[in-house]
Amino acid sequence: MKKRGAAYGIMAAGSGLGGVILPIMVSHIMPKIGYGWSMRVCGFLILGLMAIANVTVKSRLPPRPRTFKIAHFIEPFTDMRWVTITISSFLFFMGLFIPINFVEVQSLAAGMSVNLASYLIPILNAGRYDPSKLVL
Amino acid sequence: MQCIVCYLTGILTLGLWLPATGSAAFIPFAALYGFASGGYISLIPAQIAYVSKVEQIGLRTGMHFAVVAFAGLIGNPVAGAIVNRDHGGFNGLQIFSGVTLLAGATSFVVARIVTGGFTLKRI
Repeated sequence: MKKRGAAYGIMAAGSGLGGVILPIMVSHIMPKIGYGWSMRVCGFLILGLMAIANVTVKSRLPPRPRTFKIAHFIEPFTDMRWVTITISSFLFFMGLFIPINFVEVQSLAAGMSVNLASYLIPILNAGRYDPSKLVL
Repeated sequence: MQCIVCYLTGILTLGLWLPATGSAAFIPFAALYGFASGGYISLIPAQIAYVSKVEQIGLRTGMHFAVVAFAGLIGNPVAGAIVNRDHGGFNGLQIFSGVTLLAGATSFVVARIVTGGFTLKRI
């Protein structure tokens, strides 16, 4: 229980690390083994790591089965605080992925070299190292 | 805090990406955008947990992302259509992205006021 914060931090950093490694890896192996096999390599990598996680992780508390009631899914919509957060998130999400998806194409169009532009996404993901640690 | 990182994300897009011309601007933009958007992603579950009872947190987080996923679905095709209409120019896309981000950030300020009133202290 005492180490929960640190564990959470390592987990979040791991997701950032994946975002750094995978784009670099794919752009290097794609010319050698082709598109199809690079995607399969990613798939097998994830399969292997997820197999380890699935075998080793167990839940701290036993699951408590609840009856399925449709009312449970409507209840959040009656809480104004949840509704306003969801509306805000909805607007924010509409713009959130646009720079992530287009920054590479746009920088190429603006005359950046292919070599450097392919590292923009790893740089972006490297910036993801859990800022919530600083601010919460 | 969510309000601050969200405004930061929107301001970065409009202020740094829109006038950017060379790699000197793109690389800091990518790094800072990753920082700001990562802040948003990790703060959302904390925000929902704050306004929910313990047994509701899971369902409410799930419902939240189920609703919000549609925005992710809508946003990118819209952006692509804007690029097409501009004949490959990216300014319209950058403005669209920045304005939706700032609208979301302003809406988060409203959410903050609904949850905790006008005080500046932690709630």
